[in-house]
Amino acid sequence: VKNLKSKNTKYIVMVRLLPHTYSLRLTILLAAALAPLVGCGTSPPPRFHSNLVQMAANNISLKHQRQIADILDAMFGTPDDPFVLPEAGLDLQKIQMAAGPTWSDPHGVKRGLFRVHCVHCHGITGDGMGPTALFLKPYPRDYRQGLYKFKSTLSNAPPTHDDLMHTLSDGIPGTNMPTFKLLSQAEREALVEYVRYLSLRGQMELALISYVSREVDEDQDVPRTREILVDESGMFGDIAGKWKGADSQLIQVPPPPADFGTTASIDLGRKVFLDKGGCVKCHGPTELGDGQVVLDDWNKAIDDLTKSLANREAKLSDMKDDTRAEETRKVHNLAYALAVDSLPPRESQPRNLRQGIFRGGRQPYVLFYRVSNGITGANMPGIATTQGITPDDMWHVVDFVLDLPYEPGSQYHTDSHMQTAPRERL
Amino acid sequence: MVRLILFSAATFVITALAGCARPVAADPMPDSKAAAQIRESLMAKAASSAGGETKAAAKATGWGTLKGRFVLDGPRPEQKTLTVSKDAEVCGKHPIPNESIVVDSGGGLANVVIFARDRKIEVNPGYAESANAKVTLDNHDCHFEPHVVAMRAGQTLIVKNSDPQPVSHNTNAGLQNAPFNVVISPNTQIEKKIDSPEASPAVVTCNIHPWMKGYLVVSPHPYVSVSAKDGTFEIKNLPAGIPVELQAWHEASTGSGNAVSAKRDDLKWQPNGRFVVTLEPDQTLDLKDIKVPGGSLAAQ
Repeated sequence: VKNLKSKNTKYIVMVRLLPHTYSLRLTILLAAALAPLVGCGTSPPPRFHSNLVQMAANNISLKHQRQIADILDAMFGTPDDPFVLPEAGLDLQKIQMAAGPTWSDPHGVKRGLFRVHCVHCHGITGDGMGPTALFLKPYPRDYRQGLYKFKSTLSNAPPTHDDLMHTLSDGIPGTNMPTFKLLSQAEREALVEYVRYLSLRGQMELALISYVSREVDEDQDVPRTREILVDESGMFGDIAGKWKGADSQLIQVPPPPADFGTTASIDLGRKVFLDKGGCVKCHGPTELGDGQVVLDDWNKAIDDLTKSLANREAKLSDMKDDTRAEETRKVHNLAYALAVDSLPPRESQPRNLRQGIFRGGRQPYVLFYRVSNGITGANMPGIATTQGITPDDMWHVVDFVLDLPYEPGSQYHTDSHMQTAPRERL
Repeated sequence: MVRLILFSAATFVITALAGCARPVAADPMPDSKAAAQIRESLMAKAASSAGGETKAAAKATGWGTLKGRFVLDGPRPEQKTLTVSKDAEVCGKHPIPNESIVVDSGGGLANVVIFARDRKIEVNPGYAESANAKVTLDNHDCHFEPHVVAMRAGQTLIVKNSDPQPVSHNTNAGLQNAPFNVVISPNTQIEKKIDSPEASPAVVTCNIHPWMKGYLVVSPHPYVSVSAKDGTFEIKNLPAGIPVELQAWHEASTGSGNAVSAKRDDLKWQPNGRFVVTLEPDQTLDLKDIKVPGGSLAAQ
């Protein structure tokens, strides 16, 4: 009773005091408002994230994950302090100009370009999962597979330096990728080099994951020898070799036929499009891109894993005890990785060819690249080696595709159309 | 007033907590000391090659044959059919089975790929004859035939479309080294020479007909076999007198890298689908039934 009394007195004293101290109220409110601003102190330097989904899908143990992280750190450094081996064929100075935090040196040269211009969509690791990625369609490119859609090389080769420079300078019409022509040539060069650096790093990580899942038992360590990691026949030698050899893998573009640009050529192109070229199957008989929906390679990888996860979860209950614990652990790892390290898979539409918007550019030779060799990663096949297709046939298809946006059927913005009320137009 | 204080304090605590506890994916931090060491050793050119003294590989004392049969240990799964969403006038004529797990009435498990793991294994000279043979992958009745194609690097793959007009297929081979994606018009074919071996079976799809899925194995040597409809397999003329490590793979297996799990203590069958045999010259070793637990397969 005594205790209670004394507590109550204190309480009453406090309450009586308060009405006179408005400033206290203010202080508390201010403190509450300012706390989150001050709260966390300096954040740790940004770091490259592991490809958690592929680690989990390939059941890479935590020990091996750490060893892979060490090897990648050795070969590529960190976002603030990047590094490349001479075998990469990359210019470290350019990479350093694009990497790290944002600042200008005494000569006014801007540094940390990737974090100014790219990181919010493409992410610090180049995984296409920056904070804005979820709100964009299509998703920003994930560089880690080394797959690029708009290139002048054969389907099994990486893009050339010029291909990436073209995408960076001109942007990708019809997507959220803007043009960066306002940056100086040197700044763009630095960014192109940095994109290649992130691709090489991502591909090396995937190669290590694949190697460990096939060749390294749990009681063994991930090998660290030059022979396996870097040499010509090793993992990185193979990856970097392909990038260095991209310039020798160019698509050969023959001269267009003499009748290119004529109605006859356009009609021939329509025939190939509808018949032996097979284009109609996905782009549709109306060419509106309504023939088939596809998942591109990036989304398909996640979609397949999500489906197999559901199957495996459903199977857990019929498993015997000895195997169930192990399988449950693997399934949980995968579910966690998919939750924190992937975006919900989205289907993509084949291009609506009547809009005249071509993402890789609308020059005839660029369209010839697409028709002949398809679009890597987007699952558009090429017709260069299809039986019965000649180079002229491909040029006719280009002719037809270039003409489509100007066909009467594509011109819905006619005068009479614009006079109708907007709602009816829709 | 007390309420106000409590409220303010609660806001303070909540905002402070929310500010700092951002969810962070639990990927491991690299150890900078270890990384520096690795970097140093990777930069030291050619020095490492001294360590790799080439052990003279043991020579085969003859050749032997390995055979056996994969059997599903568990109830035979119901064979589902795939939904045809395109070209129904041709593709819808016959039901198209989901071939991710194919089991015959006797329990035989088809489409298990079994291969020798050593990529530089000694090859019987008799195989030279077939080194340039052609292997066919047919787009027939809107599915891939066979479902799993095994070939060796250097051979030529014929990709054929046996379907009538207007069924164009595209064959999208997700190879690591030489991926291709080509339109195959009705009743035509293309030929692709594939020179680089692949580390694991590659997925083959047709994007026009999204239900179509097959696999392509490009092996560095001829010692690879795909189990037949009754689950049987046979690998001829394996090197005898030396241990040969084999690996079994199945597309629906949930093991790491699709490794097949089996209960075979006599073979010391590993959870990663591997086992070692040493054949006598001219021996035909019959492994009999290799039981694959039903729970380790998940149909796609």
